[in-house]
Amino acid sequence: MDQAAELPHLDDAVPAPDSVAELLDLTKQQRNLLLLRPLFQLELNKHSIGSEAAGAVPLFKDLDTHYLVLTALDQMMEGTTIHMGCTPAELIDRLMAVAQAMKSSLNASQARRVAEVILDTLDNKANAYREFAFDFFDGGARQTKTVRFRLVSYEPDLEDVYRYRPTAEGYLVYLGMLDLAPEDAQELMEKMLDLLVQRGRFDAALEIAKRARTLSLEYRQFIRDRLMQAYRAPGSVNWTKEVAGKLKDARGHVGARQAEDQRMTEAVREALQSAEEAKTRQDLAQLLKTLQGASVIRANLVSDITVAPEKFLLAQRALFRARRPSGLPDLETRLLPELLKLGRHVLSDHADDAISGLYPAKWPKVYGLNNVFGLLLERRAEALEPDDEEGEIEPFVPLPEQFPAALVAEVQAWVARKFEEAGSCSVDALLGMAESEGFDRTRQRCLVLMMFRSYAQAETLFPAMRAEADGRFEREAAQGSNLHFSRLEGTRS
Amino acid sequence: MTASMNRARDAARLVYKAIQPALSPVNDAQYRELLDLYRAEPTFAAMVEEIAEGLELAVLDFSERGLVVVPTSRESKFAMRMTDIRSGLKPEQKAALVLAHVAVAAVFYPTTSGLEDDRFVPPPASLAQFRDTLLALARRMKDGAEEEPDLKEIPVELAPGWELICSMPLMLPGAQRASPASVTGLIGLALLHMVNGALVRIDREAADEALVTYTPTHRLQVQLRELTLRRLFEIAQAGTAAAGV
Repeated sequence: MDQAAELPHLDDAVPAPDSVAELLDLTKQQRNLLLLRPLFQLELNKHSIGSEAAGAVPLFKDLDTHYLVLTALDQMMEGTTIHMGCTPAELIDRLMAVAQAMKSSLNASQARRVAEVILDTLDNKANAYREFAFDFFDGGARQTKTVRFRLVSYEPDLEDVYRYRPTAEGYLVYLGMLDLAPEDAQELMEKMLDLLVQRGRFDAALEIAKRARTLSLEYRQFIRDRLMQAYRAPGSVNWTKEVAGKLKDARGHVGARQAEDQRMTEAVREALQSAEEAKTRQDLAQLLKTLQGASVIRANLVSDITVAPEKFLLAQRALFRARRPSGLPDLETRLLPELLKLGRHVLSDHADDAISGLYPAKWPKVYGLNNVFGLLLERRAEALEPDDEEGEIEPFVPLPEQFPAALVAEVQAWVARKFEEAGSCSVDALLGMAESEGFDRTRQRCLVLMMFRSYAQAETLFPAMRAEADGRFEREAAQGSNLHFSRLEGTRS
Repeated sequence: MTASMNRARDAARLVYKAIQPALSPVNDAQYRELLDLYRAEPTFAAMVEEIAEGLELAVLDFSERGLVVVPTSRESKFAMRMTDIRSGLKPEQKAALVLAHVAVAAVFYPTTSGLEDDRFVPPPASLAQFRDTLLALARRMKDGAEEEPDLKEIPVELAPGWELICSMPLMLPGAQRASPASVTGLIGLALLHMVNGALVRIDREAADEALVTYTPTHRLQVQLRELTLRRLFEIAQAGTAAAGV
């Protein structure tokens, strides 16, 4: 970011047409850098976390948060091969075990706290689970922009169990700065599986097989969703555009997997015959079972693919029944998208309109008068912190008077004299005279305060004079309304 | 004189019954009688409507399922407001809550033909379906908009509703379903109040919230058809016009 901050100076120095070439577009690099910021923030601030639970020793002392965060991402990624991620409980268990392995002095509740902190960091709990948002300088556009991202998503799987899994950005953090487009999650997934295989994990093959099984499930789900949609809202599903292509893909998927599975099943069988170690045999048996299970799912998928066109036509039939002409827009295809396009401020401004139009009449809130008085008269005990230390009573020292009595008397006599001589006079003129007669600042201020006090007849020090505001005055000692004092009619001093 | 006094009392009583959405003529003999009277006597019907009008209410529909009255405007004392659902909501939460309500309605009545057919019974739906409908649409719009680079430059406050839905957490870990900070929480909040307002009914109760399903009531159908859709359409129009699109 320092580099970015310096660039505008460069921009100033170089003439405009050439300078465009001078600012490199580092957006990708910057974004990848910012993806890691949540991790760095945690590492930097880790000692301020949870110190109350661990007593004097900070909870995160000797714990490498980077390792823990990456472990969490790794766990989630492994979870995506079988399910669509990991449940919070699974993650917490794993992180607790890792944390305790790193620091054996942690007890269960401390380890749990560590695990929760790691998960909360990934999920941006500190900011109400919103997206992470960081500013960066975009060299190409020559302005500061904001990058928003999530590292993990917490979403329901097909069985509506909420699971964590890494987002494209989360994968990127885990896989480091590989030159891969984060949008291509599939590519990242394959990369990750390569990694697992390289790591010598035997059960990686199992995971690949399970992933293929998930894909079959997803195709089935897609076809069912489309058919359901066609039943609910005939005419809203475009067969050629939306479904036909997907069905073709599904057929391709079935064909490819069937050949692959056949090959794998045989390979596994052979391996099983030659394997002797119990653990290996167990793994292989598991793999075989998964492969067989996958072929059952695929058989179901094949039947879904076959009947889909027929079911779709059946659902579409409703489209052709006579409909009354209606001036109302369709909710799902028209109104909801239009509302989603509106700015959030427009929506929130009209929120009451929409809500009052949707709900039936509700009873206006009428409070019983007795309740109101009861509420108003209720005395709530103030929550005062009891002071443990006994305080010391200090003697009250009155503040010294701003002007000594002698000075006040002197100034008052001077003013009275001036009134006597001039008959009427303004504050401005009096101050002028005071300055020329060598009054110091204190005396001048005393004079002004005395004059302003005398503005009110009830408090005046010069009962024979009447004061009126007449414009403003500005002097070094004071400024304000220029009070003009004149003698009250019928009085003579 | 006494007869007309009684008439007025009956008419007011019918309005009184209609303001209680939970009341059903099926188990209220007096309600049924008053509805019969409303159907049979135009003068009585007119009186009921006048009383309703005086209370800033309007009669939308009547059938053997009851009289449907609604507040005439958002200024009416009978009108439901955002603060009645949850006070202290942030502007973006209010916006998302409106969308959550519309998503619930859209799942039950995706097209107007369903709304206009009194015999149409939408299949029951679960919270997950409302959530997925809203989310799938918002994500589709987001994908569609990614090709238009202009949209990325818009400040967050002016960003469209789909962007808001996509950027909100789907669900807060910790299972506070009715929290207004997540999409699922907002839909839960909308459903809770729609059940209270007799707009939807719990079709299948279950301890696990994922298994609970909801069905719409006749009132929701009438209200969407006669009032809400029009009002939502006006909001959409006004918003689009204001944006100068």
